Amino acid sequence: MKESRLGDFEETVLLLVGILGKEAYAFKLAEEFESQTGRAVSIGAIHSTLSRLEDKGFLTSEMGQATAERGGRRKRIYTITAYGQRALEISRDLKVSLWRQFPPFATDFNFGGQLG
Amino acid sequence: MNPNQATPPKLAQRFLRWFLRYELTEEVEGDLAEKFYQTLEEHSSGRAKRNYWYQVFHYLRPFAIKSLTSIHHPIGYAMFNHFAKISWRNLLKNKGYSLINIGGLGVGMAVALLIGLWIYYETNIDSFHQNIDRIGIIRKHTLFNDTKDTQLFVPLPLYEVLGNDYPEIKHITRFKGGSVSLMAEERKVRQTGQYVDPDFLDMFSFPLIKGNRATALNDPKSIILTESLAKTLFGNDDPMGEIVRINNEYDAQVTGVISDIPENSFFSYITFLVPFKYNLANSYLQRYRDDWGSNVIWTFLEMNEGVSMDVFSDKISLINRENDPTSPEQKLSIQPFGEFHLYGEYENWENAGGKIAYVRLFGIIGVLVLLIACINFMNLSTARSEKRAQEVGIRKAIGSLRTQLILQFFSESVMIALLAFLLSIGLVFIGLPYLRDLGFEHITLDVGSRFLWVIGFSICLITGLIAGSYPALYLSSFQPVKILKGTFTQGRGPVVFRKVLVVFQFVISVGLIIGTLVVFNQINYAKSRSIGYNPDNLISIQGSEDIAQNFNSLKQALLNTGYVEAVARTSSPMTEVYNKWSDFSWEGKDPNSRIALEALMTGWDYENAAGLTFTQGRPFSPEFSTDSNAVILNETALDIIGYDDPIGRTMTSGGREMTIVGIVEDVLMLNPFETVAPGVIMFVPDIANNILIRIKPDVGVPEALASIQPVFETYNPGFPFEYSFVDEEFNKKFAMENQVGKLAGMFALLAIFISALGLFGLASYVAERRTKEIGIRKVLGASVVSLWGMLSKDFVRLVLVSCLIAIPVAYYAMQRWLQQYDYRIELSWWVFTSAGLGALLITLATISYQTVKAALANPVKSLRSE
Repeated sequence: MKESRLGDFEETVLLLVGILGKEAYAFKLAEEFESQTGRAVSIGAIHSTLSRLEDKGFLTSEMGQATAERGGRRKRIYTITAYGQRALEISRDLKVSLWRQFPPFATDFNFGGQLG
Repeated sequence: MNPNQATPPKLAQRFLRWFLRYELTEEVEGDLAEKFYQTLEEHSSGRAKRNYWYQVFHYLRPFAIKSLTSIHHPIGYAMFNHFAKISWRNLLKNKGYSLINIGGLGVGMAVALLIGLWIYYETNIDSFHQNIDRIGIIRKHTLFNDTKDTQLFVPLPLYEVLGNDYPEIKHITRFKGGSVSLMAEERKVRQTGQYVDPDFLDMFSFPLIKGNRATALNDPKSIILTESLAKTLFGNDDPMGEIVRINNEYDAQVTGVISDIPENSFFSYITFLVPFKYNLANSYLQRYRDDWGSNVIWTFLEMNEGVSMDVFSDKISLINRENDPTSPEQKLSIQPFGEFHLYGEYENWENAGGKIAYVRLFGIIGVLVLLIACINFMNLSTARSEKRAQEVGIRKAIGSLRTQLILQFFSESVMIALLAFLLSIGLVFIGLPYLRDLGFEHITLDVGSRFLWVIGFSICLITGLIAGSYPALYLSSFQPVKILKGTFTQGRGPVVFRKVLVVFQFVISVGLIIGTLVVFNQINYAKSRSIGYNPDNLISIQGSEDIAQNFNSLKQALLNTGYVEAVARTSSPMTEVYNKWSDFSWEGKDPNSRIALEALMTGWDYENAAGLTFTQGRPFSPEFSTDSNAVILNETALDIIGYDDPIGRTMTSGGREMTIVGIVEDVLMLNPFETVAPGVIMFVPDIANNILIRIKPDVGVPEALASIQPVFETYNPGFPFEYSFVDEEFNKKFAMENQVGKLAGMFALLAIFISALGLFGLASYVAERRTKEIGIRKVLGASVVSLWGMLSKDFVRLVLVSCLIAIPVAYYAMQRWLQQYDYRIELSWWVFTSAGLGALLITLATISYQTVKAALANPVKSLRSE
């Protein structure tokens, strides 16, 4: 069975694909990742994740337009599938539900457990 | 900025295309190009290029990399792949020849590998000392009995003079061995160790596990133990600060522990170190403190950096002569410690090599045996070249270059060499345990060692290239037209060449056989010589202070056991001589002659214990009160002294006048290959360095030992009961020669085996080629015997030629080898004939299988098809 959970990095990339819409290809996604998270990432790392997400069925892709700055080469545009959308929602709902149970003022922080 | 100025680095692009999945190329290159131009706009072109490389490397991920099979191989990969395939098919097609080739080469390589490992071990003895280049050992050169001798023992005061007056010396240590008993609490052991000065630890790289290197040997009453001795004495307790009782007389405190000294060191026998000062204060050595005439210790020194050992050696050479006017003919020299193991022999005061001769000898033998195996390969491939000729013709016809053919044959031979190498590793692995006794006890096949693989692969490559050279160069020179037209026949050239190689093989094999026979003859000759005493049933036990004091009670108790025939106390064991003095004189002695006599000191009953044979006179006897100044000579000493009627005449040693009471046959105590030196037996009844016990011939040795042991435990409580058999000690003197003989024998057998293997292959080839001829001959009435003779004749002729070459060469070489022994055999003709005859018989036996088979074959079968 294929692994169907979302890792943290995978989730971020999946969200970025949704945000970028028609511009969601590896180079742009890497740019966007850097500007949104402030962390550097290589195109290869993004590409590798995209291909994994595609294998899992969260994404589909097709070849898009060629542009001059790419030396006339086409780019591969990724789109979220319904299944991918669903996975994102499950992940969000889980976290929201967890946050709801989180006490507003956590007074009993335990520093290393030495108090017991 | 003009985007034409910079483009993504070409090399990175090529690299990317090389490993990237084809279907990803377009999108990835596009993305990377976009990234590149964007970086270029914001930063420098250098940064953009660096980033491009960075991005390319980040595509080295499983999802993006091509599967292995689709990677572009470097040019020539297909060709080598093809070569490997063809070689493999050829191997399988001719299983018999392949077996002979790989088997022979494998055995040859195993020999080369073994010898290589041995040489590596021998040449790296003590090489782990960091300052080995600056460490030297002092040798003293003397002149006695008109012989120039060289020894390691030097006088005691030399140490002070060198240490005080010569700033060139960085460290210096006196060095004196001792076999003592060590007691700690309840445990007692006899151990061999050294008395050394504190500098010893600075000179040699023996790391201290416990204790302080700088101070461990400063206090005279201290002792450093090896790890395993510490364990023996103190178990798992911390030995530091504990007390060890030495020889049941003195206490020393443990101030350090060193790790066990590795086998590849001259010092490997050492289990403890005690300050020399301690030994000086508590032994006979104190008498020689200022004596320049007595040589009692060794001395090692380490030069300061930048000081030439040779120059310094010359500088100090005359120190002894200046201080010891009684011996004008002497000098000192320093031998670099790095040469100590392999260059241990001196002749006429000059270094005469030593074990290095055997290292060279076996190195040569290893190469020769390997060469014999290579020759098999060459011979079989050229012999069968007609079969391969077709292949060469077709390859050439469809455009193969000569270099490619050469490459093909070389890769084929290297491949066979690799297979043979694997076989040889297996052989060495299996064989090593059986070779322990032959000097390979320290050699291990460490599969993880880089040295082994470097050596192994160089042997493979060299073997492959040598073995493949002739086939490669010869086969590739064929003209395709001739081959394919069918008019190709081998010329005389390769046949003659083959014969030369076979002769070469057998010259080496026969030579090795002769060598082996001579070595064993020489050993047997020396073993069977008269040694002047009876070493059987004779036990030797080291003496001690307690034994010296209780000797008479001990002797009586031993005799009372009923197992013992005689007991005697001596100054040295039967197989050694501790004393050699030059202060003897007698009537008519030339005052200018410098003669030293070996001296053995003993009490009563020595002649019974050792089993001496008297030619004149009588042994020492308690019946003669005058015997306290009696002396017995050996025959050689009598010859030198020259008395006609020696009994009752006198001679002196130092100031002591002694009366000659008897003459004994020469007793061989030292080197069995040398003549016995002149010696005297002196009556010194309180000496007890060594105890000799003759066991009655008709009793069992185990029972005798069992009854002797409690006696020694009573009278010698400070020492464990340890003994040695004199006949075993005597046989140890042949260890080196035995080892050489056995090794030479083994290599000779392997050499002849490999040569025979090659002949077997050649014979089968010849028989195969001449099948038709044999068939016709048979039809015409030839007998099996005459056919066998016809087929064997060529080979027999070759072996005879080999013998003719080998015999004079071996004669010359063995004559030279024998020169080093005073007591040696004359080379006799039967050694050479039997070696030659042996080789001939082996040859006939080998080829007869093939020739008889060919001669017996039914001619109908061989002539049916055409």
